[in-house]
Amino acid sequence: MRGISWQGLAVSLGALGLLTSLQTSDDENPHARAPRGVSLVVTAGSWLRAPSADWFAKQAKSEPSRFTHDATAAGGVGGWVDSRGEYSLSEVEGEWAYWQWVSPERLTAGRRDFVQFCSSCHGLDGDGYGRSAQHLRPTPRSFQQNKFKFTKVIADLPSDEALMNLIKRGLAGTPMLPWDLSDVQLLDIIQYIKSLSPEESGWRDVYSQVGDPVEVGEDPWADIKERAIARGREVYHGAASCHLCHPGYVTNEQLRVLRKDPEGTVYREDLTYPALKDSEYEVLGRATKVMPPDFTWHQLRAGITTADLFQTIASGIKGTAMPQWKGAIPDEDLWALAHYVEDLIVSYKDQPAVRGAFMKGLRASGDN
Amino acid sequence: MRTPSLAQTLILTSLALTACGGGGDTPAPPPGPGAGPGAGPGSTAPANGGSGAATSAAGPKAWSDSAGTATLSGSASLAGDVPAPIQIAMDSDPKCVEMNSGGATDGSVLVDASGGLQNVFVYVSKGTDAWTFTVPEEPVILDQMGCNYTPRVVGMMTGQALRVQNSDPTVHNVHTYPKKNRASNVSQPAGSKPLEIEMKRSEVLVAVKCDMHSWMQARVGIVDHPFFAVTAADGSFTLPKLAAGEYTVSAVHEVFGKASKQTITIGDGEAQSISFEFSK
Amino acid sequence: MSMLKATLPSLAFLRSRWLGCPLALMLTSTWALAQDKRWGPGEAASDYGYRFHDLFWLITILVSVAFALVVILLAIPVLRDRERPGHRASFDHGKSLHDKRLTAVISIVIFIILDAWVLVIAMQDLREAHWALPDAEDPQTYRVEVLAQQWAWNFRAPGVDGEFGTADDIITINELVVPKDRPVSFNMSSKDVIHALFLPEMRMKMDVNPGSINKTWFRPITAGDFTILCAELCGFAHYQMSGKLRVLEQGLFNEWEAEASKLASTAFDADDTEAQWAWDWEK
Repeated sequence: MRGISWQGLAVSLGALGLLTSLQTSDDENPHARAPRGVSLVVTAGSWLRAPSADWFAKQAKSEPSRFTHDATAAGGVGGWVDSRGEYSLSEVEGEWAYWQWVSPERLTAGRRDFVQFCSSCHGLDGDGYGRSAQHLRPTPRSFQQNKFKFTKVIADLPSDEALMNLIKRGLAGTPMLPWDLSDVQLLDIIQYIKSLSPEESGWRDVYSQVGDPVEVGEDPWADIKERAIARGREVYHGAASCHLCHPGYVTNEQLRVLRKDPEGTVYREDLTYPALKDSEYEVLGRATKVMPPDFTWHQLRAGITTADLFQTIASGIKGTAMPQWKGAIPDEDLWALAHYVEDLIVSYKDQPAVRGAFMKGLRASGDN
Repeated sequence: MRTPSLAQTLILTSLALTACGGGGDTPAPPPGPGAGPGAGPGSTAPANGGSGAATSAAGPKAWSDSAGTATLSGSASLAGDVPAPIQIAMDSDPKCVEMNSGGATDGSVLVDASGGLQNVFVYVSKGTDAWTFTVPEEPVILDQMGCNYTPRVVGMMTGQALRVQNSDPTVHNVHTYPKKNRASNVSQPAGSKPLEIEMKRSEVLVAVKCDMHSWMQARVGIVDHPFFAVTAADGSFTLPKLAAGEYTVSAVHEVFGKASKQTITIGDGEAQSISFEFSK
Repeated sequence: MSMLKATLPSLAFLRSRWLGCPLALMLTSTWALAQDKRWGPGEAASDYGYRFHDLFWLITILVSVAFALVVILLAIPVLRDRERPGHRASFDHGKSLHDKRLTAVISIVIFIILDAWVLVIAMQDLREAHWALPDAEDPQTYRVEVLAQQWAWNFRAPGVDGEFGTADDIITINELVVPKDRPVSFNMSSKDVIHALFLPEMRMKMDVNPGSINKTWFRPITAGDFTILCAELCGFAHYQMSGKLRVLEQGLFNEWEAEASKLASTAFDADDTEAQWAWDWEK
């Protein structure tokens, strides 16, 4: 076309190219996204624990040319083979385990993004104590401890997908924000986080199982919510005895009737308040305690839809007093509990007048 | 304006393109299946026993009970005054109160009148490398009765199953707090099936707690051989019969920690006695 | 009229699709958006909030008047002395002494009337409202300590005992509950970079700096839920650094405070000294 200076364009592009190709690596570049003296390069790759056989079975459906099942592998037990060589099945100390190879390049990309986005709270070494984590309780997760509270998995460790879901949703009520990074960036960061496992622990532990979040399935109470809430109240204060840690949301007398206890039975003091419990998490070398939430008062971290509550109750909250309930009580009772808790949140949370009246009524009899 | 020559444009464009790409060398492909993480480049995975580990000519022999002829026994005691029993309040759960109508005391320190310390886990910490041991099929049973763990301290072998049962009419949760093994926290409502927990690494002592009833505690000692014992109410213990040799024996209490290790040399058919002293 | 017709562009141009449609669109959409009551921070919910409006309108009106004046004063000679058949345009570079003096006088008059007026009102607002911190000793004053971080707000209220640094201090993240009709006084600092506490409905904004304590205050006059925002770019998630301000009637507030203090006391760990970030209240 006339009028456009091709010469000018070519000169600018050339100058730009020259300048960028002369730029030193991020490590020496003073404008690199890390404090001076902090290395952004990971030199060694890692073998990390990979999800179990079920995961490979699922992946084989979407990538059949890549994952094939070899019945003679794993000493005749049968295992999955990855044509790209990123995953491998190997015997370690007499156990068969799936491992994933993460290259130094991938870990470097992950480290760069980790330092840029995550290290202000989680620390430059992922120990949960970054500059912005000062005074913060509970503290940001230490990735060297390999325990995650809210990934909703029953296995020891969350899968990449579980971690991605968590990072994308964030944790409500905490400084852990929902991060809108690209999937590729998130996966790289996740591989780096996994590689922070100490020796023989977490993703470097041959005995760790990696799993996906608890499957949700169908809600059997979908059309009969009122009955679900009633059943939930029964299970909460009865078989599951949630009031031993969380608040009880009934009067002493109502509790006695629900549990079919004899006349005159007295329950714990401060029944309508939660009881502080031990946790496996440490901050600066000291064990911390965790307060089980009061559903009418505290913000729940991992979501407040019925499905979220079902998953959280089923999988438990790792490292805290909240145990795994899946298998301990039937699924329909888990759903009923989820409906009951959701009803408590919807009816009372963030409504000071309504909640105040409700709590006054529960405490009026004076014995809790 | 004169348009640039083709040569000029080509040279300048190629300079622009050097800015893109510039990746490093392709890394060596990871080892195939079966080679194991121990063979991977720059890996830090645990030691691989299965693939090509050098086996010395005199490898560990399989242990059989007939090889054990020596008896090692002894006692553990607590120095100083016998501490007064501490009452625990179980009123968070009236069913626990009901089952402990006479009141309940804290079971972490149990000392008899002559200072014998109960629930000390005594085990051989060195000297068993010459043998490999088969893991017993039967699980070690930990029961929850009267809102307490029975027994309070148990020992088991790595890979053996720990079966936790709930004999109480109330719900408990079984929460293990290991440092080297995988933790677990599963709920057990009244009348539930027993839970089976496996711990694969030796660790002394792993705490097992019920969070719902915070006074409920147990300890599990996991070792990779069968030479362990828990002291009785009078502080006495007897280890399973050992083969002749030199051994280091350790003792740990949940409150008072480790006592000084004892190294002993024992011969065939011999009977030796050692004692451990704990102080507050 | 004929002189206007000769100079102004053809009216048809105004109606043409190159100018008419987008102009009409702009005007109608602006009008439509202004009808939505959610556009803007809503009614002032603090007792000095009206000052913001008053100052805004004062400036707007003064400036509009000045603008109109300038436009008219420019249009008159442009039209009167323009080039037309039989009339030579008047050329005036405005360099004569008379013109210079006129310019100076008019500038000074505008400055005095406009800027001085606005300055006086603004200084009044600052002295009477923004800098008039309530007395911290007064039990009526509700004190709150704010510790900003990337990217969340940490609030500490003294709890039922009224003292900072005790077990019943109420520490919340991104949520602040205050009583109505009582002055709320802030001492604010930051852990890392500069943030700014912005309560739009309260018309309150103040920088929060690391290494120093800034003070500000407001007095809510309406109960309800309001917004807390960060108004100083502080990193990637600056836009997410928002929170909820809840203003409760005194009775409900006392209930809330009692409950929160009790829960805080239960969770308090005296050995965890690193977690105690309360500082001595700076007056």
